[in-house]
Amino acid sequence: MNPFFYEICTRIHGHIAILGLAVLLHPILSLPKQQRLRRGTKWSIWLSMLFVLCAYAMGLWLYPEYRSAIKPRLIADHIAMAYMFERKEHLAFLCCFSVLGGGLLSLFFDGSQSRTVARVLLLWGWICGVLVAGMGILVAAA
Amino acid sequence: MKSFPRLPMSIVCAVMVATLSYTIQRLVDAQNEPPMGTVLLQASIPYYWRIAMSTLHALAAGILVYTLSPKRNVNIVPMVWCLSFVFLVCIASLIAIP
Repeated sequence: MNPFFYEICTRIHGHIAILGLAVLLHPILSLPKQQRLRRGTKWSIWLSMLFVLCAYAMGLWLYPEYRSAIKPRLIADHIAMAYMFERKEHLAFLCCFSVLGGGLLSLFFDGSQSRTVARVLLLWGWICGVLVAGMGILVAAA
Repeated sequence: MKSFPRLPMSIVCAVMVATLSYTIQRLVDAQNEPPMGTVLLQASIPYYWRIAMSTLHALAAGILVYTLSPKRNVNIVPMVWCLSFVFLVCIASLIAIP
């Protein structure tokens, strides 16, 4: 892959992920106040799922290029950051699964029980996502 | 005891199993693999394999819970605590052992 194109893609990947995390805050905060899901909340859940999935899929697509082109240099110069990147990838998987699970639960199942579990899942997804974003910024800076 | 249907329960179990499966696979790999820097490129990408296996485990667990669960009424409070505990432990272990 062209290094310039790779750099552009990593920036798009990061921005989509941050956007997804920002949108995800809306359902986490507003779910307990609603008896039935409002239209805005449905939109924010769909959008956060879409952004998080897109960011994750893009990360998976960029990963082989990272392994062959970036990782050797990172290991040589900043081995701590190479480990940080591995941590980021692990937590990204947890984030993606919990946001998908929480989103599906809150969108397709009514009732306070489903909402409670959905909110817990979305919250853990958000926590993982924030950790991933922080680590991603540190690795990109290195 | 309040009602919590089977399909939401199977989704929650699938997410929990995916999280646990990924973490256990990673911890087992970390015991066996050489230190970072000694091997630069492998023929296969272990990360993709872990994701695929965890997704398969999650699907299997979700289908099993949906088909075998005889109860319609489930107490949800332990499930929420269990979910949070699983996430907390998995996040901590994945950060501690990258």
